[in-house]
Amino acid sequence: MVIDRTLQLQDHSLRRNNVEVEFQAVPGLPPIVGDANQLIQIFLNLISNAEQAIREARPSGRIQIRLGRSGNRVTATVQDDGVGIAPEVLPKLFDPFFTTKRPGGGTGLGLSICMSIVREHGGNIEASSLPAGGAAFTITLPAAEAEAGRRVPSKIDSGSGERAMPTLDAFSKHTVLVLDDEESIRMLLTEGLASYGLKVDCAATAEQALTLVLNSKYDVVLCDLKLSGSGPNSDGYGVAQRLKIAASAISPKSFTCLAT
Amino acid sequence: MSEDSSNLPSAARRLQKPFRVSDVLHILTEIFSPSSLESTRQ
Repeated sequence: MVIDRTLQLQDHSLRRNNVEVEFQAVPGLPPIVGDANQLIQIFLNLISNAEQAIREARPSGRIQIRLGRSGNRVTATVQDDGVGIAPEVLPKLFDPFFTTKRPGGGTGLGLSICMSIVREHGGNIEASSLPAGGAAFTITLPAAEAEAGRRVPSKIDSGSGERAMPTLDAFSKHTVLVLDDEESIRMLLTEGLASYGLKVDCAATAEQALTLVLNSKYDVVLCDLKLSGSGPNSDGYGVAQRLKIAASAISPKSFTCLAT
Repeated sequence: MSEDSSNLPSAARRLQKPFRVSDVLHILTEIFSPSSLESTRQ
């Protein structure tokens, strides 16, 4: 979804510069947890750089985007057939304010920001120059499945010591509503929580959540505090309050709100 | 990663993004624990 959205945003420029993009989604890849807008920013930067590298080399070219899996990590490689990267440039490529573009062509912050975002997500980016010409950037991010798919009595590394995973029994018969405008988060939570025996419903908007709350009883509502759009339906705090009021109208014991 | 927030409905919990499914599961465990349910009834 992130790459499809990125390609939509860059579509006009790619067409104008005669750059063809080869990308196929890979079925069965585990999801990753992350900020979709930040991930789009990364791919926009890499694709835009690839496009410029092609323009410097030839009147038309091709970008290949490949997804894969390495252990419990997901990889995405953006490869172009542009001018490539000089060996002496490679070590400085992700340094802030480093650029190979002409004056006014770029701030030299793009790849540095990409690296920061990827590291915030627990991943890494590597660049390489290809023997046949062109360059490849590979992003590696941790797969969410590594966290969600485990079963008791395994342990997880929480970053602050080990915690025992909860048992399936702890969740049976409990119901959860996920309100989030990001499809990837809804999918991740649906799969991850349902695999622990929870009944999970999803809503992409405040209106959908209100309808569900008025028709079903939930133990917990995971409410996105920054919903897309404008007005009262984008204010997660206000939406959470309205959902609470609506739920209390049909049941004296309302849900617990988990704000995300 | 989780914290209380006074701007939210009473008894609300806060989980900041980006989070892992395991983080959600641990908070749900706390919410569904018998002691938590008892205090909610009170």
